[in-house]
Amino acid sequence: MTRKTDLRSLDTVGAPDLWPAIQSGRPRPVDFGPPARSTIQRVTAGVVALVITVGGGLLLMRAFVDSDERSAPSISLPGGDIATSGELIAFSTSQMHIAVIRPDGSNERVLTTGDEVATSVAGDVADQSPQWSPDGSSIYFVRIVGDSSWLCEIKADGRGFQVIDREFNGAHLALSPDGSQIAYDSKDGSLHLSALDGSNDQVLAAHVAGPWGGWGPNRPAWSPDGSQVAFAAPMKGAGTCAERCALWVMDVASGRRVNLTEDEPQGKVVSVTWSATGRIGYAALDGSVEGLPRIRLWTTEADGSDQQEIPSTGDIVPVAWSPDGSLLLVGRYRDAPTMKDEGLFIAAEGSLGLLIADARSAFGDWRP
Amino acid sequence: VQEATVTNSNQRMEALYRTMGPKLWRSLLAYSSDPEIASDAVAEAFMQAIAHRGEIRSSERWLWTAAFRIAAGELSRRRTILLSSSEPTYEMPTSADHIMTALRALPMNQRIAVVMHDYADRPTKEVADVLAISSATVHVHLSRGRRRLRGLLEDDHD
Repeated sequence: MTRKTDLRSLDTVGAPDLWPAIQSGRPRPVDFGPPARSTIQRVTAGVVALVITVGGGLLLMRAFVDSDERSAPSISLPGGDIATSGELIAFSTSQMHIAVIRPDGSNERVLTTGDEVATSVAGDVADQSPQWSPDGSSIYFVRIVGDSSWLCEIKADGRGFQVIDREFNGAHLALSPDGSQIAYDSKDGSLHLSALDGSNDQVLAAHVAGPWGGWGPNRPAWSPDGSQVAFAAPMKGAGTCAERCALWVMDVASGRRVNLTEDEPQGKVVSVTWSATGRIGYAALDGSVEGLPRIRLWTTEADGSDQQEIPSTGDIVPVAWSPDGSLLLVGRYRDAPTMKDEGLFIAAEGSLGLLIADARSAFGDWRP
Repeated sequence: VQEATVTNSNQRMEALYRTMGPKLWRSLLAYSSDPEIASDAVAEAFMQAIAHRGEIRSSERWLWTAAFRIAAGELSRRRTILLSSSEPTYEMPTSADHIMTALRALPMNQRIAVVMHDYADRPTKEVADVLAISSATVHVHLSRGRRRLRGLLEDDHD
């Protein structure tokens, strides 16, 4: 290869001091206009540009034709509000508090404040990665406190906050279907599996790196029967995801894992979801074009067969499916996936509707 | 102990900015030829890093890739990828001016590869991260970019 070009004279250019602006500023908000009132209105009025084509929508729908509905009992919410199965979505606000909202965009309620437990680190607490309990009564989530992270729980009505594990050290959390185990990507770069109370912690796989030195939307996903975990990890099973990141499925009992994208690499996998019927949905970065890579969406059977692409605008990742499988919660980014959050959207019947802009795009879970 | 942790966290981020901020800004200026884009990208990347602190494992790597992606997105939006004949919009020393003019003649991927790797000393894996391509492809962009850049700089000196 040719030797380096000498560009040292660029060092003579004076650079401004931007730290005061960084310290006082916040990431620029993204204006999507007023929130829509209902899914139907969002779709028909076209509040957000049509993103997923009808073909893609049909693919999504097809994946859930035989969906078995998980049904959690109805719960009473403050103000006499009642929520039944699938009627609440838990998410993380842009200010990093856990909140819930109905799928039609109504009744948003922020559940956590960051100061439920004295930490002496006011202003440096962030809540993320909410996961519903199987009975839909509680939300488990990760609280970042300074340089550490805690595993926490709060009831859907905003009561009963508790810290389960103060030495959790994970970022993206996936609760098993029966609620007994958690899979998470740890600060050590590995995929861990443990009991909900933090006991029996074991490493399922090393180096489940998110893109660009961060975790990004890199949560693992459980199979509906809880016997397998899907996740993004290096193509060769070791090293990092710097170049290629594959979709892996691991049998929890035996530890045997299979690369589902080995024969048909679809770029760098960054987000994995698993439907109630067993079909896996994931996103992958495609750098085959000049300039910024696109995010492409794919679905596949759990054995790697029948991989199909869902046409999209190249800036959304799957986050969670509705219990009946008819709707998909997706996160949207500007410029750089895992970076500039544009909030959460609902994909249905070939369209994409804004759920809430004031949300982190990587996190969300649909109440069973 | 926890208060100290927060202080250290903030101090670490500022220290990181003091260490890498100027180089990052100059790299983005070399890539975009636009001081406003360079400033916005640096500030935005640091602000996002602070906001996403719970998700970032390697702050420096994340900041470099994020800042270049933000700048690339902004350039694309503004459709102001300058041609070689364009005048620079920022006053700078003559020697740097020659390089900036030559860099503007490179295609986007070659320019990112040359600036990040040859000027900022970032590893090829990081350039691969920004462009979501393999390290082998980064080397191709580097070779082509260097050859073309040298030709342009030699022409400039002639």
